[in-house]
Amino acid sequence: MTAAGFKKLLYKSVGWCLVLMAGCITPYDGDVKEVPPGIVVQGFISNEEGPYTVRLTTAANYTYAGLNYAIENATVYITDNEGNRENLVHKGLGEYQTQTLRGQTGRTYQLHIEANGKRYQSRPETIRPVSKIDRVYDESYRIIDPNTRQDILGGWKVYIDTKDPAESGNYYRWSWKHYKQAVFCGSVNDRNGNPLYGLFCCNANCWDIVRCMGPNCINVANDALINGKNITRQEVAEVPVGCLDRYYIEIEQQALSRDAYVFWNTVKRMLQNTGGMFDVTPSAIPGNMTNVTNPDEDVFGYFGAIGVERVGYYVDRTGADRSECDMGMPYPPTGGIPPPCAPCAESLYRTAKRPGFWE
Amino acid sequence: MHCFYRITLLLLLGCLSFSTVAQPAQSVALLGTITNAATGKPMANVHVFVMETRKGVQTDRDGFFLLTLKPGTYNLKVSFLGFTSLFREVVLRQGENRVNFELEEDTRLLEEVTVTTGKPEENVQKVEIGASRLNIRSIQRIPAFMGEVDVMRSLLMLPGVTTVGEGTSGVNVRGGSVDQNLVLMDDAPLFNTSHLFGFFSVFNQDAVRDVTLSRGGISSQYGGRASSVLDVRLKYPNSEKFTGSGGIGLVASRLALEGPLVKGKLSTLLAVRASFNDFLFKLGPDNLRGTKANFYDITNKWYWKISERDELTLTGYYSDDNFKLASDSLSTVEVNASASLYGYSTRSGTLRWQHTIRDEETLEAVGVLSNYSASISVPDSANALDLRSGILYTNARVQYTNRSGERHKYLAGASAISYGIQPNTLTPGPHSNVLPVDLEREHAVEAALYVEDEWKLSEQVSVVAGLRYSHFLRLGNASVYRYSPDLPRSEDAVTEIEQYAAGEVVKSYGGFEPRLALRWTLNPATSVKMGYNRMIQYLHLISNTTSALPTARWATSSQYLRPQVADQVSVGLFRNLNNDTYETSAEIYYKKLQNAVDYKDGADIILNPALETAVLQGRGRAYGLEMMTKKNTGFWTGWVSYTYARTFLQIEGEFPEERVNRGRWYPANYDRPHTLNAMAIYRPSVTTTFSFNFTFSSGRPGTFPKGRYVLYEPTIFGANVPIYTDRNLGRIPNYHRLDFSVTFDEHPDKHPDRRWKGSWVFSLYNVYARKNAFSVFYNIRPYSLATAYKLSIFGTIFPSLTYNFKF
Repeated sequence: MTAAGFKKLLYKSVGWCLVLMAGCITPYDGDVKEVPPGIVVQGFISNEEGPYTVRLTTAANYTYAGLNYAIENATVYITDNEGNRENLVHKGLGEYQTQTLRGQTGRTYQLHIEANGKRYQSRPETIRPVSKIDRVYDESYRIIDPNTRQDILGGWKVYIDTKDPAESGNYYRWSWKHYKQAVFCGSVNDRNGNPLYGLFCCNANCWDIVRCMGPNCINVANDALINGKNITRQEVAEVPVGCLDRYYIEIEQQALSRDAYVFWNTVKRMLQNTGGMFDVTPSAIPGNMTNVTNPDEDVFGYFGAIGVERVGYYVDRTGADRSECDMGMPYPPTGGIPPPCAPCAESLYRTAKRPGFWE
Repeated sequence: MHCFYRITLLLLLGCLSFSTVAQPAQSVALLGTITNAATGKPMANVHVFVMETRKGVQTDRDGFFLLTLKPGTYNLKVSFLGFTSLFREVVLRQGENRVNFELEEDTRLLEEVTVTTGKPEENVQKVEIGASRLNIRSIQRIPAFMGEVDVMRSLLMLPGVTTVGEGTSGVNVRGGSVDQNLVLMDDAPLFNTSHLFGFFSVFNQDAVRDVTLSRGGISSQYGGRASSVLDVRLKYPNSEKFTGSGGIGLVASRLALEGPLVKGKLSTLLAVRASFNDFLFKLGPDNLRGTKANFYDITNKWYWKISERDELTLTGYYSDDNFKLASDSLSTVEVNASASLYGYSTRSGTLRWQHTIRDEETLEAVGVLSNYSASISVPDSANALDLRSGILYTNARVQYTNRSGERHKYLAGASAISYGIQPNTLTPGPHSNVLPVDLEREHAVEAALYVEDEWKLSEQVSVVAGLRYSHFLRLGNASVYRYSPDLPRSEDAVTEIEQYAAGEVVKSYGGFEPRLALRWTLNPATSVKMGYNRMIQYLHLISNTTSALPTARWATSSQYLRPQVADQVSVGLFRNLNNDTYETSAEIYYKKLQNAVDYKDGADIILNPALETAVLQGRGRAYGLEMMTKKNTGFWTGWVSYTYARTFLQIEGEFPEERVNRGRWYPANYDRPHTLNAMAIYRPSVTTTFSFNFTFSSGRPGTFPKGRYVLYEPTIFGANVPIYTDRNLGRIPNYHRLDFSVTFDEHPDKHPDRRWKGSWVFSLYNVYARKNAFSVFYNIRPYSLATAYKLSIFGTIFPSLTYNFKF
């Protein structure tokens, strides 16, 4: 276990346990109505193929109705330590995209923005070399069914082994994606918007993407406790009980800078904050963007430079003693005019691009 | 609910002022006779005492007495040695009033229905300022949470004492942090005063005699902490006969035995308390079934009267806590360990020799050893680890006291302390991937010389003047990081590491700590007091969580961590009313703190080899007004106190990262401006006591978001990140709570020959089940419309029943 994991254990478990023992959490009327000034910058460059996207928005007030407005028509460009510069193209909705730029390990990048008459820039950040993932493996685990009190299959945990470089000050982040060949790419809905039946994809090559989502899925670590040794049994994913099939996942290992590590770790802690007795007092999330014209102005968000290593892996669920296979949407009715097909639209949740390690 | 507490409060206040009804001027006579209830014969020399006027007479040979009083309602106390005292309310009208009382023989000594151990006139006459003494009997009258009589919690009823929230360890005194209180149990300092993370205090009610909290005008005998001294004194074992006491409660059960081994010479007291509450978790939800939370403590005190002039006492204390979180409860929070165990223990011993040179002239020598250790362990093979921390404290002290002088009573002493601190040691299990970490041990010594003189300048004016000189040495082995002066202190700014050999002085600090208290008596019932003290603190508790964990690190001062210095001035007016029936006091204080400790945003404390990269130091100031009214006698007793107190800090480092709120003054975590406490005890008969306790305080500061933004990162796509800017500028809701308890004692005459005396205590904590906020936090969740949430720790009513016994 790493230092971060250890601290998580310490603060969360004690805090939660005491809360469970005697405490309770209730909604509280304390809306914050004021809107803070300042812009929000989000984006990154990596050693993987582009294009890279930078998003610019305003900050919103802390209520349900608060909105982050997109900042349009800004001048955005990325420079590197070798004097190269590429301007990003405005795509609308506050999105700015690179054209040909491809990040290279070892180079240092900096983001520049000119918006609303102010100039912003990021602290220079270097794409760090990332260690190889030496081995991926999975282990099933068992749980107690809360209703029947029986010992049943709970799912699979996926672990990796990797080697930490000899020098200290390495920071990691892991994430995973599950790809599943999509049968339907759309649906026919009733008046209330409930799907009646699915519509087949026009293209056979379409995949649904499932991710681990939520603050607990921000899986970051540092090498303070483990420097130079093998990182073994690092849990990277959890696979649920489902159909008796082979479950494809793509595992991503990122090499972060210390600032990026602190940023993600703080985001995670902020989102997990339960206000418990042993929670650290909430604090500002330290970003790496500054206003060049007025250093006192708050600029939020982060522009990172990350080294990425990616592997594919199949978790074999065919021999499981339990399955919970979701049948999905009903098939279109047979006979009559065949229903139209739906296109495979690119999104966070669906892609027509064949996954890199798909067999 | 608001209405309810207001009414309750009015009732409490009303009851306390009940007997101050205005009376017409004409005096009337009260005639009466006292007879023995068993024989019917009149009794001579019986004391008849009027509570309200504090006047008394004795009966003549025929059991007859005569009192002249103004018409009105009076509480009489009729007492005679060996008989149960009678308390009667008498209404006197114009003309002749007659009463007859029968006294019953008593087999036990009935304790006084008073709140203090000290005499009421001490309030006005003592030179001390800002001191409160509670004896264990009055602490037992305070309604207890889950029936566990709690010394630390009872302090919260005193003015000037607050806490960050329920279920947390330690108290904040006059704007001081938790570690600024020196808690002594028979001279041994305690580094953690609570069981189960803060739910119960470590003191066993069967062994404690009294507690004194000094928060201003602190005697020069004490030093090393910046805010206050809590001196807990244990009972002297009974040297005449064997007795026992104990209790069976919902959370813990106790047994104490005491008695002589050699009558009049050597005696001992052994008090044990242990919790048996695993069954409570079994009643809880599934995920708590495997949880175990247990504690026990053992208090042992020996008293040896070597000769008429020499006595020796030895106190031993052992306390142990074990907390096991089962895998199921952890899986809900996604901690990848099958179980984790938390344990912490205190071991202390005090040897005290007192030699009486002449009457009121004594010499004492005290040796103290105190060890506190805490550990967290995870048994899983791949991640198995054991994290330990601890502190070893050794102290030797000698003191000469001479109280024989008419005008000067003085004392002088010397003390030497050695600290050994094990900050964090991480030991991996046999097959674990975790790297071992052993942070460097800290060694330090603190020596002090002190003198004090209580000087009676005139009948009206007395002064206690004291001076303490303390000197602190941080010793090697030590490796000290040197930082680049152009960068904020962080691990990447280290330029070199300097090594110090064992015993070599790494850093030294020292200073004079003047202490002064002055009393000016205006009249026998009124006095004005003033106090000034400087306190220097070399040992710090480093924790940036809302409530300090039992595993939090202690650290001694170093190059970077400078000693905290507090200067406090206080002025008070003390007045007793109605012949000492009411004690009133009002005090104001101002405190200035140098090198106050706070932390960088999101700083890591655990396993950090360079604490100076996480800790920030700056200035602090605290001021306040404390008012208290106490009623000491009558059927209704109790007190009401109101405190206005503010505490601010300013951290203005050289670099932006080393500033808090851009270097402006901001309220400290425990800044709670208004506090009102009311405690009322009604004892209508020998067998029944009702206690009510009401408390109100302003919410403590919190850091609330200024805004938010949505994340586009796929893992947390759509998550709202709160934007925090300045620390502690919001405030959580106010806190208030009413507790109630009723005690049923066995009537002393029911079984006069039986030694076993039992009593039942039924208590209700948080009577109107208010969900008091411990904290407020912000989170936008997809399934909830609320953005702000309130965490309550004891958010409901807690009833409990305890059976106590004596034999």
